[in-house]
Amino acid sequence: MTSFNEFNISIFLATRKQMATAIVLGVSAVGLLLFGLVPQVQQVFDLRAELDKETPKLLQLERKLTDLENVKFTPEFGQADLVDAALPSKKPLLELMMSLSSIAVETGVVIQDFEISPGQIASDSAGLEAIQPTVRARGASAAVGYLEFEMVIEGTFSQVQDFLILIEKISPFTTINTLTLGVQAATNAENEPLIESRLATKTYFFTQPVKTTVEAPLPKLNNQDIAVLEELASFVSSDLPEQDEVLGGGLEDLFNVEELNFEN
Amino acid sequence: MSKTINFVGERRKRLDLTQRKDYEILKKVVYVFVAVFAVFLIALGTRLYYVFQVRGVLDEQDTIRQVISSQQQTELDYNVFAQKLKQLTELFGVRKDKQEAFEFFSQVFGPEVIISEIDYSSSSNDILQFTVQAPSVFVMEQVFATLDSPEVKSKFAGISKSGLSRTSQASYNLTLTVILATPGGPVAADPNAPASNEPGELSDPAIPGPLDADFDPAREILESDEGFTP
Repeated sequence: MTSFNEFNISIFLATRKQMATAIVLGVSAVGLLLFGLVPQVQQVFDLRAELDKETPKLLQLERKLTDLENVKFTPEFGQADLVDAALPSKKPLLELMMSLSSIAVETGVVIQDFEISPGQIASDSAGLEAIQPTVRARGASAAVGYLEFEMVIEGTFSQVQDFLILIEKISPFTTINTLTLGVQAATNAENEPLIESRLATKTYFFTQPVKTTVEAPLPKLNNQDIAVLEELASFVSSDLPEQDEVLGGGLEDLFNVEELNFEN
Repeated sequence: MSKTINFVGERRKRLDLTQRKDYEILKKVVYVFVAVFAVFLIALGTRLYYVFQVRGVLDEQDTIRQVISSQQQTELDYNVFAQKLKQLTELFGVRKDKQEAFEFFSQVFGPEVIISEIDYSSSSNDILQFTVQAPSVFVMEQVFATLDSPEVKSKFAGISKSGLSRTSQASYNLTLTVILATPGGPVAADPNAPASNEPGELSDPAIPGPLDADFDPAREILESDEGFTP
């Protein structure tokens, strides 16, 4: 027998439909709040944070794209060849020799003796040095390596002076490391005293691996960089075409010596 | 007439009262539900708005990335160009400091004194070493006086004198080591810097030691083995 106090769902639904509806709506509201609204609001905050994070990236990318499109037409980048000539990405042995030869001819000095230890000349070795700091020359910066060159020059005082001024204005970038002015050696045809000078120079080349990401902005040039570019425009360059093939292979007579004929 | 008892009437009254209360509760619950649902719809709309915004930004980023990637060669060339230029600026800066110092010393001693040797090869970029050559001991004395002058001391705080010698041509050589205080070039004397002849002012062992503070070049040369020929 059913107890009188026992809850009867049928009677409850029949007599208290509004309360039943209120309970259902109340439970639905709480469910909507807990499982619908709270996650939605949470996601709104997450999305807003993501938008705040991504919008500056977009602006940065747009700025980079604009810079990249404009940079091709900047006068500075138009002088990239000058910079490449002044600081090549390989050991600039031939370029150095050509530049030295041209300023020696221009100033009238005679290069009596020279000594150079270029090591491995191939451009790959420059790249190898960059990734193996232990084999890098002592004193070289992380981004550049250098070729050391020693020579003895002879000329009148003004010729030697001009040569010393011009040697620091050649491409590839060269600096005088040590300089010794010798005593008067002889006189020239005009009876002007000739002096000897022994100098050691350093010629720099670029060894730094350049890495960048899509998001990374383009590097900005400051006034000092632009001043250097202007200075580089007056540098003496060898204008030596880049050699990318070995010439002379397969020749039968490299020295053009006539064949010997033996006669009996 | 018999007395009747209406059991249902009392119950009906109670039921009506309960149902009125239920209705009031239902109205409040409906308001709450509608409010929650409205907020839910607003949140849903806001979320959808942000989803489209984020998707738009990400899509635009991808598009720009693709355009940037298509210009990879230009970017690479420009980066190499800029890095090389930065390195050249640094090399020019170091060289300019030494050139300015050298130019100053080649003029300050007068026309009789020549700079016969220069050495930029110190491991430190801030040190310049050179040798001055004077034709007589009297000119060398003037060199010492010039080095102690306020004009020189105000420009270069650290000047070390060493290696005084007399050549077979009767000229006198003196090696000077100049400390360029900052990479920005010759600067005013640092009051805290050691005096030019104080021992231990140079840390590079390759550089010869300084001379004594009470060094007299004329006396030293006269007492040297090589002798003095006026």
